Amino acid sequence: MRVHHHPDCATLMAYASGTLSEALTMVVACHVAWCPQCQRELRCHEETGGAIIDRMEAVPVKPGCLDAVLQRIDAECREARARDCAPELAGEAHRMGLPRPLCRLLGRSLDQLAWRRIAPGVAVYRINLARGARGRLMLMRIASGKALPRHGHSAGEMTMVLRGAYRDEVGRFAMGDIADLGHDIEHKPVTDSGADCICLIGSERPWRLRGLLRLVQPILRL
Amino acid sequence: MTDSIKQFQGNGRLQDEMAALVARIAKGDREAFATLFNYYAPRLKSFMLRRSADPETAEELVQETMLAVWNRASSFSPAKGSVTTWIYTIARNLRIDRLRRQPAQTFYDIDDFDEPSAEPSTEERLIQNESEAQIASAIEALPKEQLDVISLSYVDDLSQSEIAERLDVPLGTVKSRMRLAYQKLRDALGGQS
Repeated sequence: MRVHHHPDCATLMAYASGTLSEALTMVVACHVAWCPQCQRELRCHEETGGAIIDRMEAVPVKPGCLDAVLQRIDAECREARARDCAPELAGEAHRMGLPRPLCRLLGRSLDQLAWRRIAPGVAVYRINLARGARGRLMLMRIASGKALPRHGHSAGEMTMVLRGAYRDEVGRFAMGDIADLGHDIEHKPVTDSGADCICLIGSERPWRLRGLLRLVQPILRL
Repeated sequence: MTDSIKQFQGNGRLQDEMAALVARIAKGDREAFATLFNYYAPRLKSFMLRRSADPETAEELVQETMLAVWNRASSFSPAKGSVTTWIYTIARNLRIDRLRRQPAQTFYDIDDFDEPSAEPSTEERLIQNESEAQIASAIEALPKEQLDVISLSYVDDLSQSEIAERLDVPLGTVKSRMRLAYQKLRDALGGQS
């Protein structure tokens, strides 16, 4: 898989510093899982975080802190805590054609989800984030050759293609590509003909639809 | 021990020492763990306190982080980065789980995209050490306005729009300062990719 569109570097940095909202964090994590280039970039950003830890002024911990940790180590069976499930999950994610973070979150393949049809050729699946999480996350499945209404984005929104492809003013987005749209961009995506396009969409706020569609937006729960 | 650690700080050898400690911890060496703990726990506490955790929570997060260091020591690979970076990612993730999502969500975890990699060659280790020192001095050399943005993001845990508000500048300015800062840090790493 060749990834052509990546998150903005400021986005990746926000992800590394842990300040991106949960929904956007999830989309970036999925892209990173599939993109070796961003894995390397991310590592650089995290080194900045590491260097900052080294720069922190030391604040003494409570006298019993180390002992408390050692006691917890004793209490837990180390072997039991070893994360031997990780390779298994990797295989599972691969089999389902999902990035690993999404595989963990969904627990099943895209074909097994209860999709909700919202328009001819368009279905969505809302992914629940933890209570109090910022932003929202959903999957959208768009039939091949279909055009979505022109819309803008009120706050940060990111779309990652999991399956199929679409084209808009910015370019062609296929499996693994991420569209990190600024709030000043409006676009009208059209899916490539051939196969359904399934995208993971994270947003901090709902979409800004144009014209009459704005009226039906609450009904569609977009 | 603390003195010798201080002496090596910033020249890459500190991280060699740390990596050696983690290797011993992976074998269950508690003395090595105590040494690592004594270096990182006070820094982690300071980090957590700056990120608006109360002292009680900060202390708990330090414990959680160090416990995770013990449990995952065998999965640490110097090829993937320094010990400091590794501990930073653990601390960051635990904190996010703890403070934002009340029930611990596991999807956002470094292990989700950390593929196992081969042990680094001596050459790779040398490059790694050098980049540690270079990134530290590159941070020191950043213009104040860029350093402020980096530090508000990494240390004070503010989002880009919160930083814009705090500094009373447009969001675009925050983003471009971040990009500029990142470019400099990236250059310091010799553009290796």
